[in-house]
Amino acid sequence: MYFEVDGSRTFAAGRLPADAATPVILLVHGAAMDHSVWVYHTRYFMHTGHAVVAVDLPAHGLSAGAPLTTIEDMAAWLERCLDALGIERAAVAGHSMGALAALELGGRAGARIERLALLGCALPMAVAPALLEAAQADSPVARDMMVLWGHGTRAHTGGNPVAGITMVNAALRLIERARPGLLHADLAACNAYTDGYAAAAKISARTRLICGSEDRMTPTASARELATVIPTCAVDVIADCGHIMMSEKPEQTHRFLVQALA
Amino acid sequence: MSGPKHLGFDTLALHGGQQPDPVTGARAQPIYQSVSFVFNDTDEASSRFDIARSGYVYSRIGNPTVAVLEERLAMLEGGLGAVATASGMAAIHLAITTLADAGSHVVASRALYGGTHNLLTYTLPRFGIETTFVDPRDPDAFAAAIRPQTRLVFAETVANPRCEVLDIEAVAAHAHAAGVPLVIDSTLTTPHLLRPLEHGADIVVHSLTKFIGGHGTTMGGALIDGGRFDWLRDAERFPTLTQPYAGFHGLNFAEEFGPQAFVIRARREGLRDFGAALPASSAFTLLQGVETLALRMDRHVANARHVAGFLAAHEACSDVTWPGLPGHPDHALAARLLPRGPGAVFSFEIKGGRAAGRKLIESLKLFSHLANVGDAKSLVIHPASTTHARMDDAALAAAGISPGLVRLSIGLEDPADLVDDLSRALYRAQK
Repeated sequence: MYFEVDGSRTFAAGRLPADAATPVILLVHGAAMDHSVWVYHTRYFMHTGHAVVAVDLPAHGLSAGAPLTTIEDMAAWLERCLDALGIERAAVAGHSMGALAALELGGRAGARIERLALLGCALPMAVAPALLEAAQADSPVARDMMVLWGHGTRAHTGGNPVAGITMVNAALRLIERARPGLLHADLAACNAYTDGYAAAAKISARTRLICGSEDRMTPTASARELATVIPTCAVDVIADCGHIMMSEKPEQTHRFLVQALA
Repeated sequence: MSGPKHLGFDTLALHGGQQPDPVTGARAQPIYQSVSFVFNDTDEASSRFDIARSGYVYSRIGNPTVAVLEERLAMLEGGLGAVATASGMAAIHLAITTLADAGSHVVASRALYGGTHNLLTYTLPRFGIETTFVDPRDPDAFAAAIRPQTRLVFAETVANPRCEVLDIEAVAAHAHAAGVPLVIDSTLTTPHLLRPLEHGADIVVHSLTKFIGGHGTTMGGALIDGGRFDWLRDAERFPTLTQPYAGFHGLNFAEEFGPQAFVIRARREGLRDFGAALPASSAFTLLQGVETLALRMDRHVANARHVAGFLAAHEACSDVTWPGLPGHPDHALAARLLPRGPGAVFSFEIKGGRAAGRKLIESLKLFSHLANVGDAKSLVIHPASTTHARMDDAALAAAGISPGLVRLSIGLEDPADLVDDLSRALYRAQK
């Protein structure tokens, strides 16, 4: 579906509820990615009768507009996105950069956000200087770092439960579609986000952190530390899984996500 | 600037798509000889049918053994994903019908495998899909033939039997400028010799029956999606991917699946409805071939170089079409695109025409006389006395085949033995 936020054409996959009072599941993608990372989850929630919106942040995927350069701006934009869609209550899941935006949203939107699922989330989400430098240069090396560090070592040889799809190359192709400079803008926003603990302490939503045991970008230990700050929070760890868990372990991610949101 | 490295070709040929079996620890890929797969509950069942959860449903649409082959081939080609099929022709059909429907148009090289030529010339027009054939050595001709209804451009890396080498980058540039994807049949070159996606192709098809399987035992095919073509840029041209599909409750493949749109539709519609699925047992034997692909292809090429050199110097032979020879019209292009060698299938002209060709075939002992290529064993066929025996010389000429044309597929034997066999047979054919 296409709609407007701040006067910019915005895309989201999914389905809106019949009335504003029905809670909606909002899914927020990570750096240089788009709504398609949630395709199975979006389709599942629709299939089971839920209202769900997998949104493309500005300048991502099929959404127009300029990139948002801070996590706080992303959270504020998500609030305006909910307004634009007439959504009063939401359960929100975010992955990586999207998890930071969801966390910040959870801290500022109060009871409007009823549940939170933060996938591949850590505070701080420091980005390796080499990755930032490569992204600034729009080098293919940056994309390789994203997808090879983003998947567990075993996933590099494959074994995808989604028949015929290579996890690493699928992620690579998605990031290749990002506009020049977008990956760097997103990573810089993650790297600069320093107020996460303050936002986390204000979250009223029931929250689950979903982590990959082999996540090198947002290690499980950092997630566990974050969980001690969020008032109502549980941690789910997916064994033998890296950072991009939706493609690496789709079924385990599905189960935890359903527990967290539905 | 250096970064983390992707696994290399030889490693992926052995490990790609496979983990040791989680239940038994089996190192070799088990054959999941099961038509269907148990659902844990009705929610899982219905959501798998609706492409809302991962997992297997029915082996026509996906099978764990076949999936290993698919993922491995996709990795070797540098693609995003793959669909394995019952044959190479099934892969070509699947690639075309995933994009085209009645009223669509295809631009194709006129130097194509005969089966593909039949499909495009005689069969697809019955379903409203027309093809314009062009000279593969003229990239501009591809551009000139593209119409608003054109859904794809189709060509082979190295054509059979004349070995025209396609300038993939030039043809891809023309196709993309017109908003059309380039589909490449890379059967004769395999990903060890050439990876068309790296040169601008969008989709690659293979007959796995040939060099990838490599032993003449198993039929199979595959299409590999590069995942780079933007179907939404000219959405009206590709309605199968960009319009809601009633067959999946209004699913818009390009919007929902992004870069995976083509390969997901090929599987979920094409395998579901056309049904040309690859059996698990076939996938297993084809995987054995993939594991040694690089080793075998290097030997195939080395043997082809040896045999082509011998024939080129033989007084009873002319027009040896192996592109590795300096006199071949595409030699420079082949050297650029195919630095490891241009494969091992080529043809030559035997002095004495149809009668000499027949005598040659009947005199060969090591070369097997049959209608196939890409076996570990060397193969030969003389179209004028076999597949095209009913045609007179004029009809043969119209089909681009001369009376003395002999096609070889060079195998893995000792090259000296192959040359001895050809030498004796050529002597007898000239007596």
